[in-house]
Amino acid sequence: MSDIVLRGRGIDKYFGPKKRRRQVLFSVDVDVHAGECLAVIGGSGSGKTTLTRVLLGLESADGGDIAYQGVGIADDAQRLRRQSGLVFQDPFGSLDPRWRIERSIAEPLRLHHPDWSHERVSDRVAEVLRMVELDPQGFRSHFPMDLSGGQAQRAAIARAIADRPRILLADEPMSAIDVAARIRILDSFQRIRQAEPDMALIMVSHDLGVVRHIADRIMVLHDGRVEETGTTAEVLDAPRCDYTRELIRAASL
Amino acid sequence: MSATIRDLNISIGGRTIVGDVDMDIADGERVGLIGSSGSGKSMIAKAMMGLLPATARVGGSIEMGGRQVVDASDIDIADLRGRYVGMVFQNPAAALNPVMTVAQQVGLPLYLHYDLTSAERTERVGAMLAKVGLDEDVLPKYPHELSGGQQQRVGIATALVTSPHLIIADEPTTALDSITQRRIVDLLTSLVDGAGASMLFITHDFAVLHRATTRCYVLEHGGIVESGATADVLSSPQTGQARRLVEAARKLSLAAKETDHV
Amino acid sequence: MNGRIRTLRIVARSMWRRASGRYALVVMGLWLLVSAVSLVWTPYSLLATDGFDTWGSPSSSHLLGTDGVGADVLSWLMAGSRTNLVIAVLTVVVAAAFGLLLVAAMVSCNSAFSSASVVVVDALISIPTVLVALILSVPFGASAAVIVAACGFAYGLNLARILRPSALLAARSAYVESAIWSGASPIRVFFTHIMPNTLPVLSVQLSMSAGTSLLAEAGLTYLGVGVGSGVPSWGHSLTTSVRFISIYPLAVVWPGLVVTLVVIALNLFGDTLRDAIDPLTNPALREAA
Repeated sequence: MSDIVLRGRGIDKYFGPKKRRRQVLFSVDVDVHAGECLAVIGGSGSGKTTLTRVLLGLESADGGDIAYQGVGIADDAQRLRRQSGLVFQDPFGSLDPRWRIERSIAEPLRLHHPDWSHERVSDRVAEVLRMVELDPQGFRSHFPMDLSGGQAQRAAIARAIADRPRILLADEPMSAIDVAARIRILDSFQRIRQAEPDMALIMVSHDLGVVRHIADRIMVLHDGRVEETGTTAEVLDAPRCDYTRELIRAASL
Repeated sequence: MSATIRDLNISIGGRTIVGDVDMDIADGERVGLIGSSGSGKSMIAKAMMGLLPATARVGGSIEMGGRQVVDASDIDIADLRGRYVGMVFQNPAAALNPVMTVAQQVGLPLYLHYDLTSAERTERVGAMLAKVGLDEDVLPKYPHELSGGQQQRVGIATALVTSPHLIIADEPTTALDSITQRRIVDLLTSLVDGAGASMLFITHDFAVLHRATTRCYVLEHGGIVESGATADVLSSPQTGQARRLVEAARKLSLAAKETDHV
Repeated sequence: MNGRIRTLRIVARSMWRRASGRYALVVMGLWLLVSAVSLVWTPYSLLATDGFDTWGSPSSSHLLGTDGVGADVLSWLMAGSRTNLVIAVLTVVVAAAFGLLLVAAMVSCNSAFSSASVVVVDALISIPTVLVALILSVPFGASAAVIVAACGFAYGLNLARILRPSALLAARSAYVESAIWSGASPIRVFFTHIMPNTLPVLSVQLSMSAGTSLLAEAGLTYLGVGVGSGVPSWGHSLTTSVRFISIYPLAVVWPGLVVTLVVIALNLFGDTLRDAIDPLTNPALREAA
């Protein structure tokens, strides 16, 4: 297997005030390899979103160690931030409603590369828009409200990958989207992975049907514990626990 | 209860949202309405419930149980809504009143439309909650204390507590995770069949539609483009829109062969 | 830069398209014009009085008549318009600066501080503007600065209270999280994401503050804690004539009318500006450049 970019060991996380605190992650171990797509699967309340947010340092862990390229994320949070992108569930929530698409996509480029010329930023915006199948000519000057949910999500993905992140975290990127539009989002992710073979994609989902096309490995989370981890084929063809079997049933037509 | 829709036209601000829609729902039938977002499917549900915004212009006829809904007075529609038609909404967190307990929420339609003593009401609410698979201990809880699946069960209980003859379910599972989705669909269909009621089930997902309905209408840009038995539409969709929706559902289902690549 | 000018033109055109916007723009344009003209020319000198022509009715020589010392009412109102313009503009600037600073503090701090700050702001809002002005006038004397300080303080608090919900909504959004994740500084996030997303509320609230400051000027000047005596202002014109309202009602009508028309214009300005300046409600702004 290729080298590990993100490694978590024994991650614990609690929520709530001190007296009534509730454990949501129980000593979770996770490895993310360069270039792979790891799907983190589970129902609502399974802790999948929390786990991935803790992994990237969006929230702090209450126990355990997380390292990005061998360095603890607490010691070098800045580097991981610059080299990762985020995609959220609500496509309209992750684009400023009062900004044109071009400005939103250019934001990380302008922040990371203040020395880049206007043309260079603009060229990169066009490039990533094409990668997600949005025609730069028309879409760069659109506002989010003039896009469909699927188009807005693809624009949000374009923003997240604009500065070539090493890690892309997509948290339920398709669950708020029409079934028909989900296919094009999956296509976009595929195209991005071809263009950026070293980028690791962490995809959070509750739906095995959605991730089976794209995931190399699947990690099944249930009530804050890892139920099983394996390659996509292993988990789908030979699930080792009841919870996974139930997820498989739910995703079958 | 049967429902008949003829030449339904809805326009808002001069823009036609729904055009020339004909639909039939027979007694005890579970009918689906499928389309992608923006196709106007929620507008049809709202028109049936008399919940369209005041700026909407509605033409044609919607008859439910022999009563005309289009241009009916608010009082008539309120009576129809409360006693004979129940509605389950997409987002249970938004559809439930945040300052009402589950007991109050589920009991409200009974209180509004039936003359029952409070003991009778409590009994019927308890029985209804048992039917949707919730324990008595949720009765004093508020919506935010429940999970998404539990909230939708409360939503279903509220819609069904008056034993309506027609249930309109507008994307009732979209906000839920896949396991909960399946459970809620199964619960809804068994309750509807058990009560001998009819159901109009609105969704964008053929996988869900197949489980919930026997017959369906495919909606595109506010017009019906295809209709027929759900299994037939699913196995041999005739129009482009139906094909796209079927293909999407197939590709995103685990039962599909590994060879159909996205 | 070209984009800014284009935006401004679209906003102005959209406002002009509505009757209320036209009214607001015309009245405010006149206000600016008269203020500028009054710097170099008024029909009569402010100090020119005529003891034989007091409380004169409108005539060809004195279009709006004369006041109790025989000075030209129109000249005083013209000169007053620039005092009121300065007061309105400064009040808006002070209220905006103070209010936005408070909002920034309220949305950037943790939730415990944020809810505590609401209580504090609510408590401060309950202090009447007049009381603040009276207290300030003790050490500083009656002046336009006192009006600006008192109004700026009160309207700034109101602004913070009203902006907080929409600012919080933006601050907790995924786009702000993404911006911070990409390395945007808190100040940058506030000015590029949070403030623009409160613009509809901000534009209405600030225009209303400008209007209210004119009413406050009139009230405070009447109480003797507004502009100093001898300084022309609409409040001053009202104050000097209001005692004779039952004998010479016209003398009160002119300044009263001016204040009323301008306050209405400011409120309508805020309303139409809100719809015109927001790309979500004005499709013309969403068109490609």
